Amino acid sequence: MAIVMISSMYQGGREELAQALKRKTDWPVLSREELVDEARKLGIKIGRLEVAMIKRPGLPEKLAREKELYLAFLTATLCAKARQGALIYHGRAGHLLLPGISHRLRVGLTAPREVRIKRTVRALNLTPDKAENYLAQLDEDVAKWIRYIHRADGRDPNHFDLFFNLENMGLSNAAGILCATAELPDFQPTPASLKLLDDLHLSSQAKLRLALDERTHAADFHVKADNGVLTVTYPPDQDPVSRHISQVLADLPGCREIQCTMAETNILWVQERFTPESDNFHQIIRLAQRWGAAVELLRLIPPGELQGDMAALGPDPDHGFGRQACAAAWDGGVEDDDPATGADDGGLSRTEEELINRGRYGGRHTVCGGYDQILERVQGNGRYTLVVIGDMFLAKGHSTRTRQTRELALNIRDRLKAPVITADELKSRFLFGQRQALTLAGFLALVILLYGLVFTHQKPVLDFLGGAIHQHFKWLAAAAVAVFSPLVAYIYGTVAGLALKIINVD
Amino acid sequence: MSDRCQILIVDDEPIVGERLKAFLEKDGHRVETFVEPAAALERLEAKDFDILISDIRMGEIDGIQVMAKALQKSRRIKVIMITGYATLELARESLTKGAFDFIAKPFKLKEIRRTIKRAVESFEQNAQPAANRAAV
Repeated sequence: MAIVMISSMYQGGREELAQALKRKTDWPVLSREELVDEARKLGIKIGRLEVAMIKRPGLPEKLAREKELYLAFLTATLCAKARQGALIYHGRAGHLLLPGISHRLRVGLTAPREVRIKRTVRALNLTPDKAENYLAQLDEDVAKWIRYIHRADGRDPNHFDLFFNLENMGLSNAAGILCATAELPDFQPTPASLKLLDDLHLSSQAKLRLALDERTHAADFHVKADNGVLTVTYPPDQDPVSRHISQVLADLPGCREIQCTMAETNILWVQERFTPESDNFHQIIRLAQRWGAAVELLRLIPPGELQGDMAALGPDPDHGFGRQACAAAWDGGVEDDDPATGADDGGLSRTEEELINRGRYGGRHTVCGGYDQILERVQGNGRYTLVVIGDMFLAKGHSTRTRQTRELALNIRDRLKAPVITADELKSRFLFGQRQALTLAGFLALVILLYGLVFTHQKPVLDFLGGAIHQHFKWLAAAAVAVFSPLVAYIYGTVAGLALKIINVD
Repeated sequence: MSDRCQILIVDDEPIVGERLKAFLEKDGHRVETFVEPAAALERLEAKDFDILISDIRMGEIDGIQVMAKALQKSRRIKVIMITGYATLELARESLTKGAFDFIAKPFKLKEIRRTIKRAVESFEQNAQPAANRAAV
């Protein structure tokens, strides 16, 4: 029951190697191209994903969910085939698919540049110069694709079990080596790897169903499978959708039980304008990743700063894949523009996209007003682990902004009964940066100095505490202990706290 | 957009041409649509167009061939390829062979408008569009 996953760049010989291996083993071959065609039939917008790699950056497009859907489809299909028996798959990044399955054989392949150019000249009817240029650009595009889809470097040797260079080796010999390698005990299925394959199959099928069903497509779920038990976690603001989960997944083959749980760890991030390149974003995402938390975005537009285009934004846009288009009349793939196109949403869409991309999206809201409007919008969304007040009141001067941000934080803390901090406090309270490293070094030096002094001068210390000096100045020892103990505790506590932050323990 | 262009659209799905024609004519462009690539090629021979919008998969004659013929006749024509079967390989092939832009279906109308605007800007750097020349 071998699973051979072959990857190469365009005209790198992956298809030929797969066919050569098939001739030797009679194992079925599946290509990325076949899977992509199937995915298109399901309505997954793979073309948009692919072309986004060569378009200018900054075009706002919601593709993160499409990416998840594409990966879920690939995983579900590959798992289904692999459970039936041996499988040879070839694609751009086949070695990065089915993560964790220990009995899959991950194979990389490269052919000499001149060979690839010759093949491209033949395949596309290009001049050699143009073919070379085409390959150079395509290789870059594919590398970008792999980074975007798999968050990995496609050429990283750590992700391969075998890598062939076809410069001096024939395809038949490479296939022979593959055959022998696939027979090794290291690549035989184990109960653990088969269980993981079943779990991956179940969870990817569930993700696919939830994303394609019109009742649940608009929600963001985190799906896990373990021995036939599906755990679907959803952010609090998607509670109304959650009642459909069991119905959608009811007859999923291999599913014994469905557990739906609302995510308990949520960070509410309140800010006036969002940008995924900001320090605030990076700090909050670090914390969310550490806690396994979802991040809910709340754009607060202070009263009096309501822009003319706010009305154009209307309610928060639909969070789905645009799957509704399937039900609408066929438009030939020429879709009408969104009514809110071009309206300034304060960077919410871009930030939402990046959060989805990192699997940390917990919802979004836009409110105009103050504390009351915030509370009205978020109360009932469940308990927040932390509320972060980011950059607010941007039109005001520094001192007014600081004062109003602090007032906002106090009001939300009182009324939401959740810990509230400002973005400035976030790093010092929860994260470890350069400043914390300097503090740790300073306090650690103090601790070493104190302990060093005490243990190298034990006699005078003991005299002071209970010996000759103590006899003469009894109250002095008591006063010194009273002063020094909290001081030492503070220094030692700071060192311990910062050291724990390094290992991500709060 | 103030500049009017002569646009030829070829797509074997009539709805695509219909929707794009209605949209682009509102912007002041002159649009002709074809569902048969052979008929589109004949028209391209007979008349100068500023912009060609072509589907790729269309049966016997594909969009890449239509583009090649159009560019053979006029190097200044801007070709925008549209397809529901977009891949990186196909997009790069189109661009390498001279396409001005490559758009994957489904797309929003604003995307076509944005691409045409860029095409018009590139005309402005060289010469006027055919429609304006004809008017002069």
